[in-house]
Amino acid sequence: MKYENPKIPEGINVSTEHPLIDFLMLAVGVALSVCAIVVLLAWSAEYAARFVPFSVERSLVEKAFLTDRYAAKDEAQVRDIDIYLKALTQRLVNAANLPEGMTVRSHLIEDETINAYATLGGNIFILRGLFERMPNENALAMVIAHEIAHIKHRDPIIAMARGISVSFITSTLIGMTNNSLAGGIVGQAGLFTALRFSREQETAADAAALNVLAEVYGHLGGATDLFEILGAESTSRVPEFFSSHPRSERRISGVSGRTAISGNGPLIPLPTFPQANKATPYYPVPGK
Amino acid sequence: MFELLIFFCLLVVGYLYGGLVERRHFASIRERESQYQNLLTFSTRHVPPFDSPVTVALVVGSTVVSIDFFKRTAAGLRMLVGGRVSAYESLLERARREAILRMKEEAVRVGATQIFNVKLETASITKGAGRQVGCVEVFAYGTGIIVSR
Amino acid sequence: MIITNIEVIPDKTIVKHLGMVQGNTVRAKHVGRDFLAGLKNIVGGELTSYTELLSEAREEAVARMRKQAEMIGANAVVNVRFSTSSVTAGAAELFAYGTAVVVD
Repeated sequence: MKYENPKIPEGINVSTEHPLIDFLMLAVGVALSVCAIVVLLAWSAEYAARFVPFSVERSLVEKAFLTDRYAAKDEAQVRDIDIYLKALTQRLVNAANLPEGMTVRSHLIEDETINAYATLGGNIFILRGLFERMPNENALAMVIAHEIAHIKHRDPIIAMARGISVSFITSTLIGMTNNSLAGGIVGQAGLFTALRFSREQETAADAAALNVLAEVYGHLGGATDLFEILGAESTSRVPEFFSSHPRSERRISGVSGRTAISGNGPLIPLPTFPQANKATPYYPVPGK
Repeated sequence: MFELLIFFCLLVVGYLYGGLVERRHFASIRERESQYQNLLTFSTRHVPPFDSPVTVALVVGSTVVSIDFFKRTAAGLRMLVGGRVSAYESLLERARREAILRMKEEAVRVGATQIFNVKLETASITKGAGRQVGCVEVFAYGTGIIVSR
Repeated sequence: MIITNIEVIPDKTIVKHLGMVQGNTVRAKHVGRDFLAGLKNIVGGELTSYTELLSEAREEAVARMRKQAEMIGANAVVNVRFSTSSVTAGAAELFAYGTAVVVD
């Protein structure tokens, strides 16, 4: 009986594919699949969210919401600025053609950030920083009309449904990879796709708001002022696909395309209001 | 954005330097294997009879090997898609051959000329400790036959 | 090629021992299998998708071991042992090793 140890050739227990090609194919394949899954989820979320009636949305929010806690207790606490905001909002709502039963309320938040948003239940929040920055009433009206358009399109609840479903699925997939960069690839692919949907919503809201502005004031002056200010204020130079809003230049060209139709006109100055008192929380005007 | 940049750098370093380390390790393994080619190893239990009296000794060799960041990421992506994880296959190949070589080195130290009943054990070291795993311990052991003159 | 886990094959004599041969493969499960297995965890019972996966992987490991044996001129592999370990959460290594021999 002979005992030997012949040399065993290499390469039997390893795979032959080139590691870079393997990695690239995996990364691209996974990213594309995640994008496809997110697109499907976003469409389903939008479809399903529209089934929730606006009245249900509003009553859910009112139960948890702070407005009533901060509601003005008597006439003396109501500020001029809140009355002005309510009146302006009402004018724009009347021109916006909202569906039956949909109500919109504006609130001024004492915060110096330049921002405004629409949330569930038809609530719009304008922050003091944005208010102070507006050069004229037309620009402010553009902001409010934009937020009203979001509410009309039911964007808050659609965005919420989309956000929940997309985060759920991407978190599950990220957890399965057990690796921070692979999880990062999955997460970023999902994020970029979801942001695309957000930008589409913003563009649609811009278009609807311009229609309202044209109807109330007869011209679109002031809308470009708003986008120029927003463009100047944003200090971070993020590329568009990282952002939830379209680039300011793109939004301006959306308006300029229509200025030919509606032309320019007189810009109404904003009335001056006393400086904010940080100690006093905001007092929305009682009633609807 | 900044995080992505850091990850990309780690990926490049992992691929280039990690690939270099792996190739060097394999070269060292091949060299030592040809050096120890005459030290016979078998996984059978039956020891043939020898002309002179023999003593036996348990010889062991073990190693813990880890993979680079690039391979780790590729393996992470592979977890979603399924199939063969080539990054870990080369890792285990390295670890096993290294462990067997270390066992042979110990056998030489004790004066054995053959090793019988070689067994191998594989364990994952950091598996439970978090998400960044990729360390594998391979342990080889066998009975060395020392032929006394 | 005879592959067996006994040492002495009945009715055959081993002419030459050719040393250890090994075959291994690392397999990962994918999202679909994982999800279904997760659901199965609720009711319990055999996770057939994983069983299939590991059986396939084991066959491949044995095939690689057989190939190593062929390459060095053996016609049987005796004393075959298997080892399964989980190198990372979600991937399993299947390892088969034995001694390649020439029998007549």
